[in-house]
Amino acid sequence: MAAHLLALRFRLLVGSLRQSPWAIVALVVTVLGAISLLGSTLAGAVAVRALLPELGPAAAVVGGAVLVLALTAVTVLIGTSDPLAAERFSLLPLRVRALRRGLLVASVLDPWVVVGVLGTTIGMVVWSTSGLALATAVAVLPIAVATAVLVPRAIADLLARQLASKGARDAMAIVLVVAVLGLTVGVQLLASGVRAITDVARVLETAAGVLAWTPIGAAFDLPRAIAAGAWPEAAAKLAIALATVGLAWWGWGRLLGERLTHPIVLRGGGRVREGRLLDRLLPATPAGAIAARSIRYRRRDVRHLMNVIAALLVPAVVGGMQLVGIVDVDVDGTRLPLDGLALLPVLMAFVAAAIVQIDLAYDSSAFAWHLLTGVRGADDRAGRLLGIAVVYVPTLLLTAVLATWASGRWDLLPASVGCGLGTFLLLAGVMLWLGVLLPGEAPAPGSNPLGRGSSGGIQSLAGIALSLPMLGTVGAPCIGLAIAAIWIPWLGWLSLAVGLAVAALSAWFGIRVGGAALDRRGPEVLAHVSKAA
Amino acid sequence: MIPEPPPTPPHAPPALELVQLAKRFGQKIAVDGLSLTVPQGSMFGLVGPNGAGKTTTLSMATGLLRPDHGAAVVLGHDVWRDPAAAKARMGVLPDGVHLFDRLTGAELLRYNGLLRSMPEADVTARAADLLAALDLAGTAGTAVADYSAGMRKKIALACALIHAPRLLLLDEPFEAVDPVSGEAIRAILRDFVASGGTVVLSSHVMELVESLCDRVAVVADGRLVATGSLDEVRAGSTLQHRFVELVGRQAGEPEGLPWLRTSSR
Repeated sequence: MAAHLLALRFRLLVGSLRQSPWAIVALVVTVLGAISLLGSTLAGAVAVRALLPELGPAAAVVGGAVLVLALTAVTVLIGTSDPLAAERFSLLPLRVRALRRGLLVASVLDPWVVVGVLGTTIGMVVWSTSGLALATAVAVLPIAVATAVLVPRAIADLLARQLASKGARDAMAIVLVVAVLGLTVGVQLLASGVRAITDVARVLETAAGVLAWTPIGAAFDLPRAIAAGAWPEAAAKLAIALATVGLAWWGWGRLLGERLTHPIVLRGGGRVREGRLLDRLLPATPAGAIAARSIRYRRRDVRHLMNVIAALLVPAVVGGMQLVGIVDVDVDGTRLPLDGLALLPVLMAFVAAAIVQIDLAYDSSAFAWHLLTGVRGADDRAGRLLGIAVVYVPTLLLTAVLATWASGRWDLLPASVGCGLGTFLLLAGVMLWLGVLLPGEAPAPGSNPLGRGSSGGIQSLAGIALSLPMLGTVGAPCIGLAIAAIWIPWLGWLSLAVGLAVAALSAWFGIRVGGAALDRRGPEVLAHVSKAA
Repeated sequence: MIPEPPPTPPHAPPALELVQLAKRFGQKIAVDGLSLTVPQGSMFGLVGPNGAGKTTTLSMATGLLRPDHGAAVVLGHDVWRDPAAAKARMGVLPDGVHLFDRLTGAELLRYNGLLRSMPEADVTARAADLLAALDLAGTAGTAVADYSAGMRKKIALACALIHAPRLLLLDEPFEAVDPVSGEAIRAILRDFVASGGTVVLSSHVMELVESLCDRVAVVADGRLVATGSLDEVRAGSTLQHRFVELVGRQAGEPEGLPWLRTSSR
């Protein structure tokens, strides 16, 4: 069974590579990313071992916990291996135990699982200070590896299930925002204690002391506890670590079993609230209809809702930082230059513009209806831009206000709004055109919203890279003026004016040129975006 | 709808004309130089075994899939040279295509109407008529994602009808539709043809094609095997019998799978 699933996973991998050259590029980028991540982990571990060996235990715990958290985030964001989704086995006479074992074995072909295994192994370097600690580290390595592999898996599967029900989605969104806010405040409180390098060590040890008692850190503290002869503590932490692995293994099995008989299907949730207001506000034209549909989808389609939530996190983080008072942080007596914080909307504009590029991919084969009805490409582009702008421009403005507040320089508000809006619409205009040539990929409608392609795929990265030269040339005056406004505040108004002019020009370009490209390439775009389904 | 069929002008262009259509996917030739003429005012049945290229042909005829070779002409307008004119005249029910299913049934109809640049008042009035005629009025406020397969078929059909096209291209219109709704759809289609419209539908159910269509084309391996009026094609036999004969495959031999018989265990 396990061998069979491993072979299946391998053939699916080869098949996807044969199907599209983009899949090869994606694999290469993933592998390079993993190698650089592991390389820097190794370098860090060796550096700690060689230069600050007394920090080793704390570094191991914090590093291990961060690894588990990061892998969880990655698994949640880019999805558990979708080709082997449990639902696909639901018609076969399979026991959960056999399936779970098989999926675990097959996951060795998952690059992030490899990162988890190798990253945990690299962490052993720091224990080479003591024979007993090293021996213990080797002995408990399986527990650590199991934590790094199983915890992300179980949490991602649990979230996928939760997000499928409509009521839970809203709750999840709030929990997510609150969690990120809490994390920001926590990091901020830790950072406020930092005054010098020696403080870093103190902070690290405090963090390690706390994390070592949590499920994500206990397994990584065992070598120190045993080497120190703290037997009761070691026993307690071993129990925590084993319970974590056991719970994750059991929970994963439960979730798999549930999915075999009760597949995760995103339901619309019966009667939806019909926003007649939206139809009245937007013109009854093709572009107006597409904009209205786009806005409704931000709310009703969990795949789009996830993107909106992700964008809302930026102002949430900035607002949270401001509430705790990061502005007063100073390192070694010098006040951090926070004026630049006012230009944060530029980053946010990137996120929003990236969504413009892959917006069509979310339609999947439903895009066929745009072709059948003979909608002009320009109407398609204009409607999508309007729909996305209605949702993301207010978020951008909110970010500008909060970021300006955090910077303490209200005179920078025009610059903040100008560079944010200018960047967003400049990139959005380019993306309206690039999105026709490189539509990217999205999770299929009704599938796991955290499934494959939820980050837009490799074409999305290519789109961002290709749009950077535009930002450096056409966008330069607007952004340059905004930066200059830090010293000469009235230039901010100029930045706003230039930003709005560039935005209008770029939107016009995207609608015209992108629309013409869509008129030409419509059937090819349809073939690309419906392939995933 | 108009009760009397308007006289067809003597040199009226065919409702649909396919000229040497061809499409290849990698090594596989899906459609191999298929030519077909559908006269105006006919109820045309397109039949063929699985994988014969019916859906590929219809996709190329409706502007969804670019042909490698050949042309598709709707009422004198080339689908690939003048797509706007051709698409304005046809209504299409595609098979195996997602709907914008987070919209409610009513919203989806309004969406399709507005995409076709129809006046808002017409869209609203016709949407209400269509929902009532297809027995979807009660679920007009439900997200299409929560519709059953048959209801999805019906709402998609409504989307194909809302702009009052002159040619309907329907890929498996009766699949998963309950008998009562099926009869309602048949009545709508008969009325549409009687008033001078043209319907092209694909189906696997020979009895249905026989009872509904007046012209038939049989497609196999991407080629046209037979076409003509229903009587010409079935040539004194039943359509089912002719079809098996033409396609050249015998219906499943009863001796085929001895291990499957319960008595052999």
